Amino acid sequence: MTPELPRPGPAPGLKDAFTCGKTDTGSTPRRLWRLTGSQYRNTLAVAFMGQRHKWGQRPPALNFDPIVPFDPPNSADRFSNLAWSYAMGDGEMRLAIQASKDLATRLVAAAKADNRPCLGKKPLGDCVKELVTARGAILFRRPLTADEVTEFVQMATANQVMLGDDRAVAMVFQSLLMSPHFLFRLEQGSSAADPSGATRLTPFELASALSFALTDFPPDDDLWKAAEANTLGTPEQIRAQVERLIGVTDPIAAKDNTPAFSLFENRPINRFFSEYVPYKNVHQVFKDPKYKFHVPEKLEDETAALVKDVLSTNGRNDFLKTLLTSADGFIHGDVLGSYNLDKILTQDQFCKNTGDHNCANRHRLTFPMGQRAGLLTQPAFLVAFSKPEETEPVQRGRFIAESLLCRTVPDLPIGEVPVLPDLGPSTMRDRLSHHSIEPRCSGCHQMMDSMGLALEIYDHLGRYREVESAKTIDSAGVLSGSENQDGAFKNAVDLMARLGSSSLVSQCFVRHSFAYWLGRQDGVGDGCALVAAQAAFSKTGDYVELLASFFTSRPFLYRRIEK
Amino acid sequence: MTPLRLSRRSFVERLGLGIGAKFLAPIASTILAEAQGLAQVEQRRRIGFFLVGNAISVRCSSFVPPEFKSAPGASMTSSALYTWGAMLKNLEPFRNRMLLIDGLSNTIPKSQHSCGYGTLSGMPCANGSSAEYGGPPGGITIDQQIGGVIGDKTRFRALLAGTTSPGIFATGLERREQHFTDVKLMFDAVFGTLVTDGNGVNKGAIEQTLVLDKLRGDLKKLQNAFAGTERRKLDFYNQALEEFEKRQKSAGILASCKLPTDAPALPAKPAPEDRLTAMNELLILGLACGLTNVTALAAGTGMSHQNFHTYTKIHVGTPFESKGGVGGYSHEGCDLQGPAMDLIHNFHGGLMARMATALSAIKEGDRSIFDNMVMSYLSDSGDEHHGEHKRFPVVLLGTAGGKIKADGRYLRYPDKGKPGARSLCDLYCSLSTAVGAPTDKFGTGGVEKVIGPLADI
Repeated sequence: MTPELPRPGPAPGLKDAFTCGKTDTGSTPRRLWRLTGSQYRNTLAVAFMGQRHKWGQRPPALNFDPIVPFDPPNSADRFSNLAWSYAMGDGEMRLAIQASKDLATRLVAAAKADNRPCLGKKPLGDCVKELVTARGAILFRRPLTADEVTEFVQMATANQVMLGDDRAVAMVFQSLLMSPHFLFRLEQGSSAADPSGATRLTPFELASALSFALTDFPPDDDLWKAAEANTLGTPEQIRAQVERLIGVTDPIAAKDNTPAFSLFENRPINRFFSEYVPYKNVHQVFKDPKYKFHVPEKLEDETAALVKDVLSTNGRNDFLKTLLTSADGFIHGDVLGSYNLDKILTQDQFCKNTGDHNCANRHRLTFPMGQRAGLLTQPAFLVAFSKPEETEPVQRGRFIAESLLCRTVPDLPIGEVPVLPDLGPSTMRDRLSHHSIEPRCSGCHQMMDSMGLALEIYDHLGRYREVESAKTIDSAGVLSGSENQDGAFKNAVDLMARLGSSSLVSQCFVRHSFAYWLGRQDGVGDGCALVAAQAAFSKTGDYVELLASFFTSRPFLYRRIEK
Repeated sequence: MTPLRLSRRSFVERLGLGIGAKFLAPIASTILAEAQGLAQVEQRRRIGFFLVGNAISVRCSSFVPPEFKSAPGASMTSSALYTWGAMLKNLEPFRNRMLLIDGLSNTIPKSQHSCGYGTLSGMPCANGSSAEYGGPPGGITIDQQIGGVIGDKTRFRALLAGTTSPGIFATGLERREQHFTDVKLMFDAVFGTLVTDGNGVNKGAIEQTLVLDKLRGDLKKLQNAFAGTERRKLDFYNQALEEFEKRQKSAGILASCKLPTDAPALPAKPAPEDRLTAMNELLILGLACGLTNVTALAAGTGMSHQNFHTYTKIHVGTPFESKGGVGGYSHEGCDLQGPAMDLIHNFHGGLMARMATALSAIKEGDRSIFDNMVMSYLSDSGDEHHGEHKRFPVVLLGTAGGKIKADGRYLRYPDKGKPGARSLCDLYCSLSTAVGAPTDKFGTGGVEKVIGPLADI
C-alpha cells in the first residue's frame, strides 16, 4: 500500500496565483514521480520491442498480460496524476518484485529471440553490456553511465558459474526493473544552477517529461535523438515536439501515409477532461432498474464523444466556450429517454433518421433550442451529481463554484448532517430556501446554490424538464464574481453562456490545467507561467497554445532543491 | 476430528476432476506425507475465502433447501434436518461443520452485474468504475483487513489466487492487491526463495539477495539528491525493502512443512479447473507451512459474463457434455441454469473439501489446522446473475476453533430493508472476530447499518 505522504499546502487565492513579478523565477522542486500503471506497461512494451518506437505509428504493445504493480492510478485528488502521491509502499514493492522476476525471465527470452542474439554467442560480459546499453536505456529513459554498465556486467559475471548465463542475465534485468531509475521519473535537473538556484531538466529528463505527459509512453525515437543532439533547448524546439506528440503535426504520417494521431484522440488530454469534470462517476449513483433507458456506460461514452468532438472542431479556437455551450450531443438510440427525447422521437425513428439500421452506434444530434448547453448539461455529469431518486443542486453548484470559478467552499463540519425539509409536493428550490434564511448556512450556500438550481431543469436522471411536483421550475438566478459576465440568467443554458464567456472561468480552467499537466498544484513562483498560459489561451481560445505555453514554462523546465 | 488420509484415488474422486488431478500428485503427497501429527504448540487461526463469479442463484441453484424455498424473508434457524443440495454434494462429509447463510445484503450502487471489489469490501465500486468489469475496490477487502492483523508475522499477509485477471482483492480504496493467475508464477513467488537444488543451494534466495542489495545501493546513492516529500518517497521504498526482507527472513516455516521442490505439473494447455486445483494445492501448502494465515481463491469473478465458458472438464460425463459445457446458462431458465450452476459450485465445493481434508490431517497441538480454520464460499454477485444484491447466499465451512457455530444450520435473514435484515459486512465482522481480528465495523452496509458480528453464528 502506498504510504501516507504529507499533502501539499493550500493553493493561493486565484488573484495571487495569477500575479507575475518582475522576474520569472518559477521552478518545481526536484521530484521523484513513480510511474503510473500505464506508463509502466508502456515502457515495458518498448523495452520488449528492443528498440525505441516511433510515435504516430502503431504504439508498441506487449503480447502478454504483465503484472502491473501500480494499477489503478491514485485518486486522492481531483487529478489522478499529481506527482506528490506517487510512491513505492510495501504493497507496490511486493508486487514489483513479483512482476520483475517474471518480466526478467521473459526479457531473457526476448533477447534470445533478437535478430542477432548475443546470449550464448558472445562472452557473457560483452552480452550484458550490449543488453543493458540498449534495453536498459529504454527502461531508464536515458543512456546508462559507464559505472552503471560496469556494475551490471560484474553482477552477471560474478554469478555466472553458480546461476548459469540465463539466470545471471535475468538477475540483471530484474535489478533494472526494480531500480528507482526505472520505477520513478527522476527530475533532478542538470548540475548548473541559475541565479535563482534552479537547474534546468537535462535533455533526457525533459524528453521523458514531455513524452510521459503527452503520450503515457517513454520518449520515442525522435525525442531521444533530440535529447542526444541537445535540440530541446529553445521554446520553438520544445513546441515542435509538443505539437508532434499531440498530433497537430505528424512528420511520420506525412512521410509514409500512416494515419496521423489527432488532438482529439490523445489519451492524456481526454483523461484530463474526464477528471476535471468527473462524468465517469455516472456509474457511482444507483438508479432503479425500472429506468431502462439509463445505461451509465453509454452516457459516459456520449460525454466522452462530446469532448472529443469539441477538441476536433474547436480545439484551436473558442475551445472552452464551445465545450461549455455546445448545443450538440452524441446519442445512442436506446438512451433517448435520458434526454427526455423519447417523447418526441422513437428509437426506431432516431436510428432510421441516422441511417443506422442496427441501431448500434451513437449519432450527433442538435438538441431542441434552449434545452442543453455543453458538458455540464450532459446526463453523465448530471447523474454523477445526483442521488438515486433526486437531484443534488448543492453538489452541482459546488462543482461549478470550485471547478469553474475557483472558489473555495469549505466542507461541512464533521457531525453536521444536512437534512432537507419535507414540504410535501414542492420543488427543490422550495426545499433549499432555508439555506438563504439561516445565517450559518447562507455564507457558503450563496456561493453555489443558485448555479445548482439553474440545473434543476434536468432531473436526477439528466432528463430535461420544465415542471417539478406540478410546479413550473424556476431555474433563474444571478451570477456574480465572474469578472466580465456577472448578471441575471434565466436557466442553465443561459448560465452556461455566461460561464463560457467569463474571463475568470477561463483563468480557473488554466489553473486546473496547470495542475494536471505539471503534476502539481500551482504555488508561489508560478504566477508568471499562469499569466503567460492565460494570455496564450485567451487570445483565441486555442487549446494547443495553452499546452505549448505550459511545456515551455519555467515551472515545467526547471527544478530546485527543496529545503 | 480424526485426520483423514486420502489415497490418490479418493483425492481425485473428491475433486471430481478426472485426469486433471493426476498432475497434482506430488503436491498432494507432500501434504499427506506430513499428516503424521508433528505437533505445533502454537495454534493459529486461519481463514480461507472462495469467491465465485456470476452469483449463487437463490432461484435456480440448489443452495436453498427445498423445505425453505417458500419461506418468507424472516430470520430463522433450522436444524440440520433438511435436504442437502446437489451443489454441496462434495461438502456433505463436513455437513455438521457448516453453515448455510441466506439473505444478507451488500451495498452495491447498481444492480445487475457483479461489482467485484464491492462484495468483499462491503463498499460500492470506486470512482468511475463499471460494475460490468468488477470495478476497482471501494475500500479494503475483508481478506486483506484480516490479513493485516493475523498475517502480521507470516510471509504473506494473505495469499491470493484466481483464474481471472481483473482484481478482486484490495488493500484500500483503488488499491488493487495482486492475485496470482499463473500457477508457475505463484509457486515461484511463494516457494521460490525457500527451495534448494540437489546440491543444497538456494539459488532463488541468492538471486533475490543480490537484486535487493543492488536496489539498496541505488536508493542510497539517490538519497542526498532529494529533500522533503521526495526524500521521504525514497525512505518509504527503503522501508518497504527492509520490511520485505524482514518478513522473508524472520517469518518461520512450520516444522510440519515439507517444502515442494517444483511447481505442480500441469498439462501444456491447462483448463481453468486444472489451474484452480493447482492453486488450491499451493494455498493449502501455504497454510500448512505457516507462510500465510489467510487465503483467497477467485473463480469466474471480475467480469459480468464470465459464465464459466472456459471450464472444459467438469461437464465431462454429464448431460452438459453434449451441450458444449456448463457456461452460458445464466440467461436461461432454471431447467438448464440450475444443474449447470450446481455442477460448477460442486466442483468448487470439492476444492474446499480438499483443503479441509488436507488440513484436517495436520495436527497443531491437540487440534488440526482445519479445526482452527473457517472458510467461506460466496459470489461477487448477489442472488442472481442480474440480481439486486439483497440476498447473498454464503457457505461457511469450519468453526475457527469453536468461534463459529457451524453446526449444519440453514440461516435465513430478512430481506434487505426489512426489520432484522443484516448485511454481508456484519458477517465479515463475525469472521474477522472469530479468527482473531475482532471488529464491529467493516464496510458501509448499504441500506442496513453495520452493526457488528452476527449473534446467530
